[in-house]
Amino acid sequence: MNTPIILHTHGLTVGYHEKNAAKTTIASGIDLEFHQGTLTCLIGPNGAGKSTLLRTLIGLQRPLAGEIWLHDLPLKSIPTRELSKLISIVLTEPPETDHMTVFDLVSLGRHPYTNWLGKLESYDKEAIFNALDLTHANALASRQVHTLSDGERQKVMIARAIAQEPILMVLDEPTAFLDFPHRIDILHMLKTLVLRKNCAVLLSTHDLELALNTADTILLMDQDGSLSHGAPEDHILSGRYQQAFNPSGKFEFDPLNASFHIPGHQGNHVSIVGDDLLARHWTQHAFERIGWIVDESPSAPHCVYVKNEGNEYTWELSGCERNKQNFSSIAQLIAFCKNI
Amino acid sequence: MKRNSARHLLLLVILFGCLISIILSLSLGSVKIPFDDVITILLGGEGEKSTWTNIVIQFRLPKVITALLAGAALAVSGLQMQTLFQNPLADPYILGISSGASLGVSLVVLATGTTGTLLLAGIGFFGDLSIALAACLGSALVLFLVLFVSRNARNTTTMLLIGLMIGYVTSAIVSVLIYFSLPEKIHTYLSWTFGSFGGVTWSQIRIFVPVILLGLLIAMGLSKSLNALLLGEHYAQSMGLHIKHTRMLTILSSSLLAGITTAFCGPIGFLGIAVPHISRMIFDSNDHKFLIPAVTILGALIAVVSDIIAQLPGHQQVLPINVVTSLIGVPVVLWVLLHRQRGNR
Repeated sequence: MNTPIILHTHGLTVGYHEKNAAKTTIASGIDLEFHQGTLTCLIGPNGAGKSTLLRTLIGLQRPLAGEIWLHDLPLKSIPTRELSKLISIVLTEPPETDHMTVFDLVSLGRHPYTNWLGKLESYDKEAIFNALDLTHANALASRQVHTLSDGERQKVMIARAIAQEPILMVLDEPTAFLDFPHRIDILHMLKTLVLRKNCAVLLSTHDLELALNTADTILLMDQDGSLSHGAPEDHILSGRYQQAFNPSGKFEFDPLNASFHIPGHQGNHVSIVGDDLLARHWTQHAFERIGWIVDESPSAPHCVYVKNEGNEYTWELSGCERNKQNFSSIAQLIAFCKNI
Repeated sequence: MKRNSARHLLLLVILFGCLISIILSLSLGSVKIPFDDVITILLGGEGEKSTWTNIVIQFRLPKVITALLAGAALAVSGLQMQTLFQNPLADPYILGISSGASLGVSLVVLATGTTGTLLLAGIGFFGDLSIALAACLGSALVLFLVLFVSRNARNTTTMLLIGLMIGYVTSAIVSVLIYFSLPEKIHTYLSWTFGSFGGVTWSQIRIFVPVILLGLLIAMGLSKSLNALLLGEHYAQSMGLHIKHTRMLTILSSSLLAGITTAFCGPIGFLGIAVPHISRMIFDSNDHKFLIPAVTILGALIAVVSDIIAQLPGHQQVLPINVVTSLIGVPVVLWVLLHRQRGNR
């Protein structure tokens, strides 16, 4: 990559200082680079230490060893006030705020730039309206924050972080409380942001599918704290993705869709035939859901033939010394097969 | 913008209310003095009766000034504590200022031997002064203890708990002192705990005014930081706020305000917790740049009005100020709270 590096670490070790001078290391030997104009998703199982890593990268927690550099400056040498002009954050839970308009909330992002009384100059206001524009929150500007929905509120918190004009924005599970359309919306917004403002965004998430589909790079954190950094697709091809979320092999991994399944227990085999690719796909999905194994070979003991006649699907089940049976929905087919 | 001008208009109305209640307070009491005489006396003239001049200048004026200062101080201090601890139940006494003051006063009143008793009983003025001094020392002592213990506190909740614990210890010591004391001494102590705006002399006001002004000035300077704290400490820190400095300065200003007030007036309840809530509601704002002047004026108004009611105009008796603030203030706040909830739905 040729774009300028915004933040990089060298031999970083993150963890906790205990009271009795003992150290709990969560991850060590971390060498990372965050480039301008990229959206990075930090993913990993619960307890891997994602929050600790994020807290360390934004200077809220001291590293146990190693260095963090922001542009050409060591992070620890940057005073709090200067740092706040370079990094802004969004946390999982929007703060509870009464008697505050969206505009007031977003204008708090100008805190590092304003004078001792917090007076907003014309360029401060410009930055605020710019942030509201980018997050499509213009219409919300005069609303009270406590009347917003969860999705709107998180959007406004992102607007506040944008108004802070950072070169790096760090978001800790910003989409945790949101429904699917709002998640997509927020991720899309952040992608636009990195390109327009030439900054970098790092966010942690448990939404693997969304991360794989939108991130420029994925930072994958294992249960044991080891980190790998690369394109989403590289993680799947190298098997690291599967390894991180399925260390005990409890689930079955489908590398084509990057999805995990609960493995079959019944051991029933079925083959699925038919011309309609989409119907075959979802029929297979249904059988895997109840733990059947879908075979390619037509010699399987059970066979399902998916027919599509005039926009009406029918499923024909045959095999095992049984007469052919027809079903008009997957629900009926599955209900029958469960009892075999 | 329209909203802002409505706010400023409301603020002007409250300021005007303040002026009216000051005149009322100077006029009403066990002796009723007509308004025009009050104004003449204030402008340096003589009232119709010479005793009136004396009453207004020597008794009522210091009391009104005390009420104004105390109301403003407690309201601002309460606002600061509520924002700092992000807790709507916080008040100026949350870090043990009043328990420290009561410890100091109880030590002077209850535990002193014959010399102390003589001193107290002998000359009222010095008695009052020594009580104020004891309250000052007591609250300063507890406050420094809280600051010392919590200088490395991870979060503000820990500080809150430390303040609470120290409060328990001091009230236990006070209880022990009361248990072993003579009834008349207990009475002196109890009458201090009732609170009063009276009994502050002109010479004490010369100390009172600059301390309160200093506290208010620091509070105003902290308004931007307190705004940042509204989003919680993590966000505040990410916006460049030095949490520890802000915490210490806020506590300093808050304890200057509440400490000196408690020293001169005793522990006055309700104002510190209620005025910030009422202000946020009627002004519909959480911006400290605006709220600090607003609670200053509203706190002063409510304190003076409470004092007028406590005088029971036309009667010889006087109610303790704490009785008025609680009995009349609490229903008002409850009404505002419930009314507002209905409005929101």
